[in-house]
Amino acid sequence: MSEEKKEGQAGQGEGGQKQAKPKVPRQAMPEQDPHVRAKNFDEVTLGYTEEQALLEASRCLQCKKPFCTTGCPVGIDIKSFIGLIQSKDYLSALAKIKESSLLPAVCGRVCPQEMQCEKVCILSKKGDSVAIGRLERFVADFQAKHGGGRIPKAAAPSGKKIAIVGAGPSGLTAAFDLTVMGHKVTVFEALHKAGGVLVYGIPEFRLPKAIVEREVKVLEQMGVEIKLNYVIGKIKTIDQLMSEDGFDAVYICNGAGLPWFMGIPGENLNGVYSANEFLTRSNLMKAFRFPEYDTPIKRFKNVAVVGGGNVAMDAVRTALRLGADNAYIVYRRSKDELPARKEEVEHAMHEGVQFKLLVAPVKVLGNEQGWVKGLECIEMELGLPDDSGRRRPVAKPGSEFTLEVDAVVVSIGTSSNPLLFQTTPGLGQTKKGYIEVENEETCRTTKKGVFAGGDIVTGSATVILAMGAGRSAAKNIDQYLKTGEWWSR
Amino acid sequence: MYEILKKTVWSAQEPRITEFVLDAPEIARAHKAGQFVIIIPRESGERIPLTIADKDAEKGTINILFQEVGASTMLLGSFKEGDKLMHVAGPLGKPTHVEKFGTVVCIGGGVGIAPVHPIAKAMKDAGNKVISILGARTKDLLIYEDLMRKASTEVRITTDDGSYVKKGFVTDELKQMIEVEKIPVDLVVVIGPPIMMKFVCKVTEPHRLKTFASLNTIMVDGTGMCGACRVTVGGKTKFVCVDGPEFDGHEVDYDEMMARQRQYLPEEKQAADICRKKLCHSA
Amino acid sequence: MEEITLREIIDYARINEENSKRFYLEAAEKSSVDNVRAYLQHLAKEEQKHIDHLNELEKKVEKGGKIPKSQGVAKPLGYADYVGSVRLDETASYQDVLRAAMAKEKEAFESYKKYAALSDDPKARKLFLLLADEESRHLRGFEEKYDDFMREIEHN
Repeated sequence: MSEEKKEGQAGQGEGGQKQAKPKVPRQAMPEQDPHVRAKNFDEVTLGYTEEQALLEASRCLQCKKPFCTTGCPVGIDIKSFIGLIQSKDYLSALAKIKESSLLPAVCGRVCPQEMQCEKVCILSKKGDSVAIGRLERFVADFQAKHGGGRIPKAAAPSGKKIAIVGAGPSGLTAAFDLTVMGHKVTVFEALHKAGGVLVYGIPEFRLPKAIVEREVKVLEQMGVEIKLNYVIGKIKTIDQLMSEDGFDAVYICNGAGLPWFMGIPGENLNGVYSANEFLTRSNLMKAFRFPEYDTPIKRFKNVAVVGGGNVAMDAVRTALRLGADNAYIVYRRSKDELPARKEEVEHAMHEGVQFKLLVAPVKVLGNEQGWVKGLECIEMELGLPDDSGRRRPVAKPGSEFTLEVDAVVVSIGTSSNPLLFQTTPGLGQTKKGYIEVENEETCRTTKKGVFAGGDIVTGSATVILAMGAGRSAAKNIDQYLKTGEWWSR
Repeated sequence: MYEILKKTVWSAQEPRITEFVLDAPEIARAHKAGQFVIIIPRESGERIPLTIADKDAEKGTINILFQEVGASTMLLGSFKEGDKLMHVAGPLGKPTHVEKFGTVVCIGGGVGIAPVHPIAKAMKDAGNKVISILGARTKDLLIYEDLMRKASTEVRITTDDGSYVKKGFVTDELKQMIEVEKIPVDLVVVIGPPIMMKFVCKVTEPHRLKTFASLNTIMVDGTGMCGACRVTVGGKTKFVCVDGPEFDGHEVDYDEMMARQRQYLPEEKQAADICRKKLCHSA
Repeated sequence: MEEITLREIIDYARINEENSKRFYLEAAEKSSVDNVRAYLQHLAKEEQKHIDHLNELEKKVEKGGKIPKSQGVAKPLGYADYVGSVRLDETASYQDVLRAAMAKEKEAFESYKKYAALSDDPKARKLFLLLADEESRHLRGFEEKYDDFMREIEHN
């Protein structure tokens, strides 16, 4: 490839020494001012300019044996795409990413790169890694803005029909792959918009919905049929899909939708929400624009969000944007254990979110009308290391205190939706409520021809992991359609 | 898009009671008594849960009935025959448990009569003797009388103001049946305002009379994702959309449910005022 | 507290464990989720182990042997103090089972501790404390499982 030489030149541009410490610092992401953005729903990060992208790409050493790709759950050829940015061939860079990932504009925004590709980037050993995610986003946005690129072509029709249950990241990825392989794919989505967590969960200020719509449209142009408002298990069972509608295989990726609550007193008071409800109202239903949009949302002054993941950060930052004076994160473990991305935690802090760490809620306090008036909490301390060396948080007796809040958003996680199990005989369920599979690679359930992946198998995970599962599922479905082989427990 | 094939205004008195027959063949085919749909009338619309009041599986239609009490239902009421609703999702919720119980009393209060209708029908089809008690504030607000007569072995009617048949509440009639007439009853099914369901359960409880209550709570997605519809049943939190809508009436915490129902009253009022103005302008 | 023999204490503890075993078996009977049912059956087996253990202890005490030394009390994580128990019905989840189990262990732990405090006989007190300490470890075990589960389900 002729680009390779150019890439080498770009590397030498860094002072001509091989493997020398790059002089160009990691390019900061332009952002809206924290005080301004804490009051609006526009995207927080603005994306690199072309100049910044080129500077950042120039930091990539184009390693002979790159580690970055090993850190990517879908194995994007990162070295090559950054090389293509170095030579300003942005559309080819995007095409390179799309060989492995359907949703670069999404993943460039929401992937926990610092735990994946950027973590293993050789530059991170001595300093800051290449900002791979930001570059990924840059090329995707470049194409969106300037056009170009092609709709991927599908192989000759195989004559096989596949049903995908759930139009989230996993389902969309599987739909893409299977279509490219030549199969006819129908995606059944329970909600009135495709995108799953990308549309109901992740807020506009972190992932503009127009991006998701754009990606979904590409799939439709490729020939994927997306049926909205289809609650599989209700309007049709899995068995009906296969026996009556002639689907040769089904991929279930309907997510781990059911929100968990804490089981403490007062959880059904008015003003206690699941993060799913709070975010669905705001994101999917656009309640932040009520009454222009018909779905209402309460604008609380003091809000406690229980949990420490990205969803909790999304909820607490949404609360701020809806006008909260005090927005708290209440998390029972230490700062190091916050499951949210570092960037999201920092963004939240800059915007004025108050963190109550090593604090566990004990009781939601209510007034006579049944509304929340406070959250009683207890302080935790790290106990002695257990056998695994972990120091579990232990309640400090007598340390109870009350947080004066008028709303509590519970964001401790989700479990599997019981709906499909109610109407799908033979679909095995694990002790923890998820769909039982042979293993996460093959995605084969206990029911022949039925595959499952994403959160409904693993529990709450990331967008990229769900996409990875979609990819594995597609591969294994394709194989199954050829061999008809199944497994037995 | 789902076309409104027929629109019936049951009561022109405000808040109006309106019924649509919708073209929704797949939902009609899959529907079982007790299930509901979520309707989004327009792009910026709310997800409105409404119980399926009747269906024609062959024609591929479902009937929904609603009282125009808030902005969203007022907006829905402004739709005309031939108009199309943006989204309809369903059927949702667990179907009613139907079997031959013996004598089943089906109680509907106000617009709650509509969702009781398919249950009465299914119970009768299953070989039960169905005695229905219909309650309305006044004669003009009584709906589905003829349909309920078809779906029941016997129909009793009460009106709060005595303007039709018997003055009183459904609870009075129920007490009369089981305590005075001593009619042996095997099951009671009740749908209506929470306070009415609570009182019906108070009547049946001392007789250890099994009572199903079908709950109508606030919902957003209606598929188990958000928990807006949660209620305490037998001390445990349940989701009406996936665990219900039908529960053992004696175990439901109605007081909590009533408080939760009132959550968005100020917002609903604000939206209704705006909607009223807009609809007046467009009219 | 009225005088109580060591054998009576052990018998009381055994009734507790038997009740727990029955509780899990009944819940397993109701459960409609295969793997939750299997877990409940496993818990019933664990309770049987506790019963066997008490039987051995009884033999030891009968022979006039010493009451074994306690391995110490395990510090609870605190979940059982504020996470309420739930009735285990046919749709009971793994989380529900842990909640019910934590509540049971906490109740047992606290009752033995109370009886120890009320006992004038040093031997009886020692035996109650031994039982309390054992329950504290069971409680901690369930709390750790619950804690692991809560970590596992956490949103990313």
